[in-house]
Amino acid sequence: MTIDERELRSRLEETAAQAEAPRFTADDLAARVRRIRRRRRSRALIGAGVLVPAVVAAIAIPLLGGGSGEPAGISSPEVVPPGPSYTVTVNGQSSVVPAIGPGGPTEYYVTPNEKLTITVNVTAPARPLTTALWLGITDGVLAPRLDGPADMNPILATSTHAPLRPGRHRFVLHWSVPAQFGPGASRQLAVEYLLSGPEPGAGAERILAQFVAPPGPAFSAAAVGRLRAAVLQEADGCNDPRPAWIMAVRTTLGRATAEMGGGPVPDNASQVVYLLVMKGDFTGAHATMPPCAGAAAGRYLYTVVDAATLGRMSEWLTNRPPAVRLQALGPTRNLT
Amino acid sequence: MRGSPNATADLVVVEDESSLSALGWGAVQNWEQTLAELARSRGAALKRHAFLLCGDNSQADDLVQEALVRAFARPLRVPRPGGAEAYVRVIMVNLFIDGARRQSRWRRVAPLLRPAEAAPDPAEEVSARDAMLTALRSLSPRQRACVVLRYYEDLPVAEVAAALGVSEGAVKRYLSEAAAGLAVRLSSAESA
Repeated sequence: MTIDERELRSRLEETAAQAEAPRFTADDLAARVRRIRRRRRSRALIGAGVLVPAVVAAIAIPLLGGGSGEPAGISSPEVVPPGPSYTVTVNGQSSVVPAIGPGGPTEYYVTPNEKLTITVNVTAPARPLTTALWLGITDGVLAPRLDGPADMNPILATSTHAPLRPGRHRFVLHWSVPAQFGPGASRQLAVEYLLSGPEPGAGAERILAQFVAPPGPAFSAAAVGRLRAAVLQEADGCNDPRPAWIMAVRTTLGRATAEMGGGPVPDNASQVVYLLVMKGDFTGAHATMPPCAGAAAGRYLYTVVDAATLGRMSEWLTNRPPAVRLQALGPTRNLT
Repeated sequence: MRGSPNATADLVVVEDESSLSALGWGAVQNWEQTLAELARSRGAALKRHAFLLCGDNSQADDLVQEALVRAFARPLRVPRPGGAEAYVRVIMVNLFIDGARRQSRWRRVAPLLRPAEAAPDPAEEVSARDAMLTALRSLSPRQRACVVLRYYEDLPVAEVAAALGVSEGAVKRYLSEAAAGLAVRLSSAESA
């Protein structure tokens, strides 16, 4: 069993199109690159006098093992010594974030105005010494600076007056989830720390936990009932009260019209709509014909409904099945 | 095709930063301009590429950022303005493969604490995107990288092989195994 190459390409395009907009900015990236370049310069100055080339080569071996991740011929760009490790407990639920390794942030579902009690146990290594540490909430952008994080709001804990002694330190943090924390929103518990050593400002930042709002329902129960009633009425008006299937997808007006042959993309292309597609034996007594349809009868009846008001916006009839998979346009629901 | 694929040829290698201007490429500060242009104009495209590899939006963001930083962090080895995107894409693929290898090693020795996962939205569950992402996840990192480079980036097999540092025969084998695996996964998802 194999898959057609063309279909595979098309599916990859569809899947890739679901990626959200990048969260990083050019300025943040430039700041990171500048910082690494600064470190390299200072390291090179130190190393030039005292280290033999073999030692330099050894430093280029990635700290974590498993290759550099860069194309052949390029050594590992940054060797940050292991910093502290963490145990994070949010409202009684714990997770471990090791100093090294893939201990990614654990996700916690939170609701607006929820009061979180966050306990962070920081295990500081003996060497290098952790000279400063900040804990706080970010919106996913980590922009460390020598004098503390620029991206944390609020900063829930700071330890900058004296280096953290080797061993375990406990920070208890309280944070109220913002009232406007709607579906799809997220915040991160992040840490930034500085380490002692020959390079001033050596340190790192990482995300310890991720707080996300549960996704809102794409189709509320009330909407499903009203959408179904509306399309069945539409189908009845087109002389097939029992269509073979009815599918609904929540998408934008632009995508609904452009990708489904509903005519030119309107000005309000970003308006959220439900596109309803029915398969049956329809005649165009009721449905309007789009410029490209040209059929008085068809097997597919398309209806666009305003997602906010559930008012019908347009409908068209054609013999052509959906040009793209409905799932590629947004969340779908079978209304059959 | 989204840029020249030959990463090695897209590098300017200099022994001294001051000689960059002698190469007619402007001052060393130009890396900032190249990086800014790349992040602004091609950030979304790079994110899509990373998303296909990782199957996760936040990991894709991390992967793109890491690749961009690595591409521009070495003062003596900077990507040419025209070839930076392809170079970053190759770094992303290699970072992804290395990261997956490390994760698999780590999982063998230290089980991670994970919270109970929330029940997925039924509407999402049936989506083709999820089916495709699930199918992609079933592939090994190298197979997945081959599929993305060959069928999404449209790179010839020889260039996929060069980017991954493997033979053309190995790439063909990965692609063949991947196609078979995807077909099985997708057909079973559709029939479910």
